[in-house]
Amino acid sequence: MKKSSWFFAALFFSGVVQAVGNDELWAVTSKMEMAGMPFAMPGHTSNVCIEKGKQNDPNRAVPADKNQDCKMSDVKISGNKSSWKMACTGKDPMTGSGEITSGNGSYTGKILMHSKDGDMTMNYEGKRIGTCDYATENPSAKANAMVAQQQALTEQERIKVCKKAVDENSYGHFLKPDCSWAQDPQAKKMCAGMSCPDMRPQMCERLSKKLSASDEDYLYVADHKEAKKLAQECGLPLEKSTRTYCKHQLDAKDYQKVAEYCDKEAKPLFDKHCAGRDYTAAMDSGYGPICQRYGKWKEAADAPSDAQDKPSVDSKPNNTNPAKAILDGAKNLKGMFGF
Amino acid sequence: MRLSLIARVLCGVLITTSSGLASPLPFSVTATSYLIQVNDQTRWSRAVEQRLAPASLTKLMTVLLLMERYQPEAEVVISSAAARETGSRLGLQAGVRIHVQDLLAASLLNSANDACHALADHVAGDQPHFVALMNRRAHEWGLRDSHFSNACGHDDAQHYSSAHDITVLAHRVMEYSVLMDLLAKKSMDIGAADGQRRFHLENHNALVGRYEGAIGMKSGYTAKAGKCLVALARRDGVTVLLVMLHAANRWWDASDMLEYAFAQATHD
Repeated sequence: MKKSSWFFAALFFSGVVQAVGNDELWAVTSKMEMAGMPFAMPGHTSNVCIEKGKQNDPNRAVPADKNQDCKMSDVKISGNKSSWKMACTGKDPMTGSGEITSGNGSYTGKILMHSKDGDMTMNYEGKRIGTCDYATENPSAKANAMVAQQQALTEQERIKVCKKAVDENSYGHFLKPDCSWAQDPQAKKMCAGMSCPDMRPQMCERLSKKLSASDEDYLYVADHKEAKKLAQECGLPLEKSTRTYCKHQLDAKDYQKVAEYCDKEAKPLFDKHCAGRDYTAAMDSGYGPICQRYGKWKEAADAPSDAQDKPSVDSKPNNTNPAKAILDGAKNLKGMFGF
Repeated sequence: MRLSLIARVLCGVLITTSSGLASPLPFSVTATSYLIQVNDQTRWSRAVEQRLAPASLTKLMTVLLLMERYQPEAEVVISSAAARETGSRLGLQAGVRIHVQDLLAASLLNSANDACHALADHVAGDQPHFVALMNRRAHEWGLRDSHFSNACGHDDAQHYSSAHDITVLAHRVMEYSVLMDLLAKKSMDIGAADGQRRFHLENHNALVGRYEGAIGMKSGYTAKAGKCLVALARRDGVTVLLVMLHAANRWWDASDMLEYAFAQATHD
């Protein structure tokens, strides 16, 4: 038998109820027996809130499982005795019947259920022990309360994680999550909740300050993929910061940094000091890191696959001055002999 | 000793086996043969068993034989045969006395053929005996595509090696810190034993001091061999060994190849 059916059947007879109200609080003892089980299952007593006057309402026995379509039939109420039949279709079909006999402040009853997994009998008896508020204590309300509680806990946890992410500058938490995998609205909602969109403005502001704070701070953003991506998502002027940083590096003649971070600034320097030049001359020119930067393999990544070998002059490709290339080649040839 | 032997044999097997699997680089390289190892694993290669003139890469074998009986302070008298050497030379005159360690430095950094020849004389008495020793070791070390006819790398029909075999030699060179220390120098000064003459050595390996992480090895050139290079570089615990034979655009290609190898290694 499907677990959910058991669950709702158990819910029917369970729940710790303490509230005071107009409805009736019953102590219900149930005992299950299953065909083929070598031993009897122990009885279970729980307090159940039942709407006033509905202690013998057979509808209470219908599983409230969304996946099960259960219908009652042949409902008979005669005096203090009710009986019914029940049939569920769906993933785990089952049939059953039940009866309940009410007394003064008490009831007894039995439910029989048949499914592909076997037969089950549940005997139960109830005793009124007080009052309660069915509106808040019924199984559905309790289930909703549990879900709400779980959601609140999850939200609390999310806020905790997000606050920690703010403290630790974990920029990845503030990126727009990739929810392309989420098919249904619930999954999409869950996916959206995996990031910290509510705290993104705070992080955007922090990143904005960082970008303009110092060259080191800019480098931090440039070197951290997630920070860089968030800066883009935040609409921060990353390009402007890059140019400012690169100007500082050019002024400081830090060509290693120019080569690493400043393509726009490096390219003209490469053309002027590296392209077509002998390796040692280029590398000793002071622009070595820039000359090293534009490797053939990097060109190959963008070039068509039928790219031809360069002429056999030991000089850097992309020369724009053929005369200079010849001079450099001649110098190079001179240096070749005797190596 | 036995472990070392096994390790060397395994190293040879590893180069052969993995070079068989290694693919060419995904960009054009104007070298007839090349091999790139990352942390001793062959990653990219081309025609590694092709017999080609090795030019001054020959000196790797020469200095390995010297290491077998290395006496750095020993004095060597330059023979007339050594003084007659052509190509790259220090300009040593017959009869000059010079320490072995200085000849070694000149052979490795300047690729000086007179110094190299003098070392061969010192080890074996003369070049023919030294060449015989070279070929015996080549056989013992499993260098199936190598044969030497001189100590210093002059072109000759019977003087050839392969990228695979040069790689084996390079690994043996790496076992000697005295060699690696010299090979990593951009320049140094040496002098004759009597202190009369001084020589300034400039490492012909253009990568040393220019390419970030370059820690040495050897370049070579002859008309037949073209430009040859063994380059070793280390960055952040990643070691890349590059062997190129008969290259056209040696230094730029080498720096591109090394950069590519390091970039790929960090992605692994």
